[in-house]
Amino acid sequence: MLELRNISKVFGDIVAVDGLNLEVQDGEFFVILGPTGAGKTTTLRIVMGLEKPDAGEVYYDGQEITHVAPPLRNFAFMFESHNLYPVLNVYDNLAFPLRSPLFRVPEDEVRRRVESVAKELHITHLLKRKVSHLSGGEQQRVALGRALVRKPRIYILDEPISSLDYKLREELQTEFKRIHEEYGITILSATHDNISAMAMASRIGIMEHGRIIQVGSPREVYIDPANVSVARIIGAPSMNFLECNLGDDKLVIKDSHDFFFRVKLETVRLLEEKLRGGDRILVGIWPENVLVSGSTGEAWMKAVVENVEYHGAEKFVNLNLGGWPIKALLTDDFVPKHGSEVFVSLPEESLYFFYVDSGMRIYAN
Amino acid sequence: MNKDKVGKNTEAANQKEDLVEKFTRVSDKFTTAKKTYGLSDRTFMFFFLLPSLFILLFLVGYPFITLIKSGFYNFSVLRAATPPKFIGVENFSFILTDPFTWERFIFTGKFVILNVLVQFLLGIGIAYLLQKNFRGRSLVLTLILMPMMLCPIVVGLFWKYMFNTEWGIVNYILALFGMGKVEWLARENVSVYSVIIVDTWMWTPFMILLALAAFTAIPKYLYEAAEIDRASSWFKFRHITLPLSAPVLIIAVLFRMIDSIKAFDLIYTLTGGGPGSATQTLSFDLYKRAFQYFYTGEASAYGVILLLVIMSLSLIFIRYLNRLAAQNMRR
Repeated sequence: MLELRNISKVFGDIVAVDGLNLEVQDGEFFVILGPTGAGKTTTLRIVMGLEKPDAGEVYYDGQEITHVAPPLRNFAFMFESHNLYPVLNVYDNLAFPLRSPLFRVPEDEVRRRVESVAKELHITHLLKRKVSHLSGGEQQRVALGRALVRKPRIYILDEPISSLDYKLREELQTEFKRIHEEYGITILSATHDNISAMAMASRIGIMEHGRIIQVGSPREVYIDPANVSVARIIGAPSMNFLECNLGDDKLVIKDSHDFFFRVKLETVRLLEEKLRGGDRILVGIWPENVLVSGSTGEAWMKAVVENVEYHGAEKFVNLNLGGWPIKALLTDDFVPKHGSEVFVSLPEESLYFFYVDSGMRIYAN
Repeated sequence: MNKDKVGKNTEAANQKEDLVEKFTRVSDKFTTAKKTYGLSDRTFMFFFLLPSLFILLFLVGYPFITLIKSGFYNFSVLRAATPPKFIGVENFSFILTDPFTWERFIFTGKFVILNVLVQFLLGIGIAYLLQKNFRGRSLVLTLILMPMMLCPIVVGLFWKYMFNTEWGIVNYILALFGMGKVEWLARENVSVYSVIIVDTWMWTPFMILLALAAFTAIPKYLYEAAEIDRASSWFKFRHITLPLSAPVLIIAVLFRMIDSIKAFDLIYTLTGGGPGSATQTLSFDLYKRAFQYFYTGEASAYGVILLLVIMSLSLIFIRYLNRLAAQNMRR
């Protein structure tokens, strides 16, 4: 088990990591998901020992390793920039970690392992090739292969697939997952790409401003985001937010000329109690939970269609709801026309309530 | 176009024609722009080159042609009244068949190879050590670079005194360690090494400077990757540092080589080419023929030969450099 306790790292006046705590269990595929500049790479580099934390400790299996040199940690690291050795060919790049004077492996064993990893990653035909003659995707495979030839305690992958085009990304995503399951290895990865993070991870840690703000399985963080930031980071497309004022038995959308939707009395009570006098609420709802219809019903609000986006099998409509932008998943064949009016309903059971100021969830449903 | 009279189809066709015409006009404009408006890039470039071209022509071109020409004449500037006499390749054949010249060639070759080799090894070694950040690094670096900034004549004179057999400081220090006196500058087989020591003292900093620049330019992440792959320091040096700094190192070696072949000022003050002719490089020999004996024609021929040697050596290096550059481009 890998453990980070209260890690902080400052570069000049930039706080890269700010009191970060993290646990990675054996056999887990843990993905740190966060926007660029959240401190993901710095965190991984601290785990690797390439960077010394200003405060906090790193533990592996209960042993403190904060100041252990990288070669002695026996972790494999795949850099975002691949970092292949430009003067060596693919075979020698893959063999490099096995030819270390510290942990020398006999040459026929090196050959066996390199060839099996190359086969695994479908790069056998590239072995003789110079690294400089590889495409981006091929380089990424070689970089991954270089991590896989060893039997390290943990594989640490920095943005393993985000620099690739969509097709390759999907391919490698599946490959990562398969390798993780087949080898039963522990992987700690970092990415800003929420789709691949959700697809690959067994657990996700959402990171922002140098801190982990929520940890859970992809399903858990999706169903139960702890705050607005998490909801913004994990969704693809991300959650809709509407600032509302609390009414007697309803929520009134702010600056919307009295657009409102009804909620149960007990919900209003609960919110009233939690808000303690204030009445501003940030209401969130996933696009797939917004109901859109061409005809009105009870508690439907009028919205104007801005445009329709096609995401392969799914189509989303961007709406203007009383001045607020709302994205909704279209579930049936109904495709509204640009500029037309539709009716929108926000079912209470799919609503998330956040404090406007802190962005924290008011209560978990 | 009269919309009332033409049918819809023809109208569309006409519009299309219009567009095509417009487009061709626009594209014409693009292709002719270079010729019609102002100076083209090429002319502009030429104007910038003009001053240097003039300087080259008069300061290099003219003397060079005169040099080649006088190589084929029996001529001395001391006897300006006697008209130069054309003797064909006699100057060249005389020089190339003279055993003394070949001795100079061999000495110069030995001197150049040893000199550059020692400076190269010392240079990259010291640069490697200076890569790390430590207290007083910039001070050390400045001090190390000092010799290079001195005047070679002065350096030669200083070392001449330091190497003095009877009262020089070098022998004094050796004596402190119980070693006997060495005749640094007076013995044929020792004086060669004395010259190399001084030249190395003076010019290793150049090697250090270039090697350091080359080493610093190598991306740090490669070393980090190697660190994680648990590579040894030698492995890192051999497979990352050396190959990636090779282009700059080759240029440094080329510079030092050409400089060593031309070595004159330092030797002139240090040993005066002696003892006997033991430390006379080709350039030194050339100097003597040109300005002590005033065999102008012969010296010119000598100069041409020397130039050819340096040029062909440089060519080999530049070839290799281009190959490396091509490899790096593909990276």
